[in-house]
Amino acid sequence: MDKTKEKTLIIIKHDGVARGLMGEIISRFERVGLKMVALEFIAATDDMSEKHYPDSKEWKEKVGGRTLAEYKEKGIDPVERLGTDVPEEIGGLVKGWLVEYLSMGPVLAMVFEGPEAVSIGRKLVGETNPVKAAPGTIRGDYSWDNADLANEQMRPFYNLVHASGSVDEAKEEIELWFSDTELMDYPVNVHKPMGYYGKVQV
Amino acid sequence: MKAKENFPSIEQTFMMIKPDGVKRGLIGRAWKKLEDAGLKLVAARMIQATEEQARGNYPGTDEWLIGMGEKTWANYSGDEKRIMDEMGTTDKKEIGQRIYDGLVRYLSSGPVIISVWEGNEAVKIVRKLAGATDPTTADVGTIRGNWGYDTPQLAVKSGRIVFQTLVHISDSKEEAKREITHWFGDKFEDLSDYEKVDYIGMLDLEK
Repeated sequence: MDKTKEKTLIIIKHDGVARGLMGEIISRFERVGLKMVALEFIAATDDMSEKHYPDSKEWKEKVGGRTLAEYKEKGIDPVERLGTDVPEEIGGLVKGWLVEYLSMGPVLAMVFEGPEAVSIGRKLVGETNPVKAAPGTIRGDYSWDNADLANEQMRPFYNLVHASGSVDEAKEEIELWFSDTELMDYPVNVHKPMGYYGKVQV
Repeated sequence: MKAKENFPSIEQTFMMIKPDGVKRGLIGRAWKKLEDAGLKLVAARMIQATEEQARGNYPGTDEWLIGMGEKTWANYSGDEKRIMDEMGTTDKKEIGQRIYDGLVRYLSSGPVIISVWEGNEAVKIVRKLAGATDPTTADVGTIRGNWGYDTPQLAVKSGRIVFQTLVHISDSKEEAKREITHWFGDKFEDLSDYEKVDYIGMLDLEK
């Protein structure tokens, strides 16, 4: 694959839409040199949000495990709060919260393209838990949400943006949100001095 | 919250970020202007306009073509020789036709972002935020005032005929309706049923 054409799915979730942060967030991807190749403002159906998150035992155990670790750190009894301490079951509950979050109102789905687009996307977005996200990242700059609040309200982090976790994940997600004909191919001006077409000739 | 129908001044308008705005990486900054003014996004897509779609964005009637030719004449202060030298003709309708073709080439030269925005007096407010099409007079702080530099003269000299204005916005509520239908077609879905932060508490006060 052409390494300049790596793609990542970025979704501005409904809190980002309602707060009027779409332009600000898009700018951050534009200014780093990533190229927008698809965009749609869309109300995700529950079915689509369901498919957006993996359904595997492995994924649920990973996500449930993370929640369990947070509960342990905060001294919360998972059985008392969630009725179970089995990671896979907790992962299933968290998936339900994530689906609800993604479907709570219209979201802005986009595809950005460029060398190492996936890892650049993750870097700009920042850590999942906004309170731990570095300043200068989208979550670090625009959210104070934390695990305690999220846990108490039995919801995921309201962390403004989704960014694909890996190249493979990005591929699956892009196929879910966009059709091939919706992906654009065009030159952006900034790529010339950035060396996209090869070493800059002086 | 009271139904939107109670507020006739809350309206929807159409905005397109044209290929030059997209290629120059101004999508986010243009949208930010609108969002910061309290406007709420109703619909948006990135599309590659077909030639037919671009053509249909303009009336294209004889009257309109002649009107475009007259504008060019005015830009040249009626200097017939210069018009002939630079446009290759002095016929108003013919000039209009060349401009029309140029506009179509421009709009379909790369992907555009089409969008619909809602808010109090949205048509006028978005017009204000876009600024005058002439970048030498567009107010500082507007989209064209901040980022525009192209002029009709530069466009003609460089063979593009039509100068690039970064965005297209609707002139009136009626035009907005036509443009929304024209550009979104059956893909238009009104997603305005959510609360934008700027309007919280503004529309539900009891008398």
